[in-house]
Amino acid sequence: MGGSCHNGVQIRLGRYFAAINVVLPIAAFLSLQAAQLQPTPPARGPYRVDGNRICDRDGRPFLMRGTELAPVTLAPIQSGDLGPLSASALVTIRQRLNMNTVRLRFDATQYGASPAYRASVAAIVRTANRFELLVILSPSLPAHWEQVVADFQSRPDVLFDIADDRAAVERIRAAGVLQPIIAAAGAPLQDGAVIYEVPATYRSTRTATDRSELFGALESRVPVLATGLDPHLDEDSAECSAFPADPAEAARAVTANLDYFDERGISWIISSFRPGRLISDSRYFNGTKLDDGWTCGAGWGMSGIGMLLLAHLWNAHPHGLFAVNGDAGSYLLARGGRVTAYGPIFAERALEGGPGPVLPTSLGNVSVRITDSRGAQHAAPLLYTGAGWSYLSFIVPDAVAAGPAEVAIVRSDRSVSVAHALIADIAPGLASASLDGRGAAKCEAIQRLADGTTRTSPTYQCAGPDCRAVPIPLSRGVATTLRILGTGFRHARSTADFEVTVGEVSVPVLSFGAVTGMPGRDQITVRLPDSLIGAGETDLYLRAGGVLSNVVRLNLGGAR
Amino acid sequence: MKLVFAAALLALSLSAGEAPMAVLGRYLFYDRRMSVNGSTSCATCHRQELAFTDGRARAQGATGEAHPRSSMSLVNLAASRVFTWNAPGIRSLEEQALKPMFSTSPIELGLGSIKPAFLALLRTDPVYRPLFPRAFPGQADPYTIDNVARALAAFERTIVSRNSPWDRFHHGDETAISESAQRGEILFFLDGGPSCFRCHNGSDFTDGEFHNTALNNPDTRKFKTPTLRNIAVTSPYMHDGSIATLEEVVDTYAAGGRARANPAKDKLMHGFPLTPQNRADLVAFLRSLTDDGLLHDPRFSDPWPGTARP
Repeated sequence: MGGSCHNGVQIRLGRYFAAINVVLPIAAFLSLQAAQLQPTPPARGPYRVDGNRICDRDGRPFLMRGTELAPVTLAPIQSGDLGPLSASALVTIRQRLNMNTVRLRFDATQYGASPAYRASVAAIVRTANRFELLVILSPSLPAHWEQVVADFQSRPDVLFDIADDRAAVERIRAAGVLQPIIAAAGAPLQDGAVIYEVPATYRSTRTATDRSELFGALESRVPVLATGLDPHLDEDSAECSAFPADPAEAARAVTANLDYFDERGISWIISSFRPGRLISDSRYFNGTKLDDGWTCGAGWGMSGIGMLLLAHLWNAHPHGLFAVNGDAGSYLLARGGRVTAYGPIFAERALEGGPGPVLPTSLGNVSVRITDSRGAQHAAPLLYTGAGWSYLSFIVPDAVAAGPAEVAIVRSDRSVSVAHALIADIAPGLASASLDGRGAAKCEAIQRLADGTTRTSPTYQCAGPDCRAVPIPLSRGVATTLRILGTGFRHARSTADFEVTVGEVSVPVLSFGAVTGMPGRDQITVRLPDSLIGAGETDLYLRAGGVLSNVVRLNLGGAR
Repeated sequence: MKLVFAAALLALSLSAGEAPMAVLGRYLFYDRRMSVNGSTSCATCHRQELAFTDGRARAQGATGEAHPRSSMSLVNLAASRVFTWNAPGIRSLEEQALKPMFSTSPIELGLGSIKPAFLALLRTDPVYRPLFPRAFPGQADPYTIDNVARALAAFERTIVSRNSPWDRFHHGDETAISESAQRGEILFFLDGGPSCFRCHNGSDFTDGEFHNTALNNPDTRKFKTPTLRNIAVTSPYMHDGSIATLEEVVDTYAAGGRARANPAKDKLMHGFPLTPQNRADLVAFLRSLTDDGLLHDPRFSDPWPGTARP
């Protein structure tokens, strides 16, 4: 665990490009990287502390960029929701918000008393870790640290938060934990591997001087974790009162803090991923914004800083254009894959590019130009454009080089809106029936029955915009394969590049490839093993070439 | 002295390379002698500093008679397919120009009763005498009403407004409009929200169609979607000038119209939730469509010299 962390930014990019097998001409790389979004590095524990830095398992500097999850409860998820602690929520935090850390608060008493509660916490941690998220475990105090540590100390991407229970350090270390421990800032602890948490508010961070006073004494000596910083716009709170009333000024207050943390190498856990904070709902996880104004609890309100955080982590303007994987909603786009650009499209009317295998490169008054990492420009085939401030779907041509790219909506009046994007050979997204990357998977179950006949049925059912996963009647003796639709994985080299998970079970991959006649649409076929019979509604996701997809839902029927 | 000055101005106009027909049209546009009592010109109801509207709820003709409609802005008519508030049959500016000249109910210019005298004036006036042959070369007698209409239409087509802060913002000047206006733009173009762009679309913010905006019951007529360019200087608003401010206009649309039970109400008049911040932002966006250069562009100003203007 010795040695010092490497240089920060270069390493972050270096690791990213290694992960997606991109080789870039150096000049193109340097010219594009300044303006590009940078993927927040995934959790890669175990960690150690080196001076004021946190280092990951490869000895690289690690900054936490995250949010707090809703507290763990055993309450059932509301109908129509995916739930703020669901796999869909966690993968959204990783892929759409581009974060790498979540803080999980839980009730220590329930944790000790209820096996179901304990299992629930464990499941959330397991899922978050699978989705490249570091989990900070924050039990209520007093906590039964011995039990919590025993349950999680083998997980390299879990850190324990003792808050101001300073005596807990010795108890945790005594159990053999080497990971850094998170503690409330105060008198320095004797332990050399502590990350100090500094709760911040908008009242305490109005100016650069305020920020220096709050963080300056610590940041040069020890790793600092800034927390809080949700303006509580739906409450009659002191924090809401202190928040600038003008949305633009308020946005600058938020951004000033984020910029300060970036410059000083300070980790942060800001706000929380639940309706009324970073998101407005538990189904679509729409980011909150400041645009509509707020009343501090006096009237309407679902304002928040969600879109501001997202824009900061995408190195984009919150009112700018975003280009996301057409199925996953993530920042990584694939050659040959479907992409959705949303924001200032300003098409004069909604238009379809299809049907048909040959798509147009302009629809009405808009077209899409992709400038790739080699500087080559490509006209993208268009699937659909909405009118006004809306979204547009297009295909990344296969000829586009991998690496940082610029996606531009070009209008007939010569005005342009630009998004920064990252193109990769493989960037998997799974199609959902509701076309939003969440909920019921857009799959087909193919079953060979005992009598030799074959039955094919969709795994979803929609009534208008509402779709649900319908049970796949699994049973022993009936071979069931699943044809999963998605995008961004046609360039995988072989089935060995895939790791498909259904209900926490890794399932065998039979084939994959592009779907004929459906531009940008890929498919992968897997076999559902008998162990999944009767598993009920569960998650489906995959990794292709090491890159994570979004999470969609299947309903696995049959009697166990 | 007056003639020398006018002729000098004319020479200046022509030397600047302007189309002779539009040059002639500009003089006609500002000429009060086109009205029955010498009180009114086209510019009376279409004032440049007001983006070629008149600031009145309803226009007023030469004899003081009130027009049932508010004056429409004349910017970017070259790109328009329809003209006037509710006459979809008028398909050319030339055709439209005849309407204020000769309408009798109400009287606008009232030219019908002085037509012979006006044509005689055109033949003898030292400004017009050379302008008509230049504008209509080869015609034995170019001093006709048809040519007056053609010249007026040619001038109106030159009135182009494309340099508002919003235009500059979309061509790379990120500081051209306020952050409030940027938020307002999103709302304006947001489907499922106000959806203003469903009618006010294209580079001139008009679909060139006619809609019933549920202003009055039982008025089931449809009125042209006006351009929103320079909307901040064209109050009062709507076809009947019944709304004084942009804020009230936004409120009226948010409410789904003033006469919500109007059976002819356009289905796009669905109303929408509006916070005070949304309203301020939408209005800031609308104000960002003002092309200050147009309002003071000497190419569109009164060419007749000062007090000597006829």
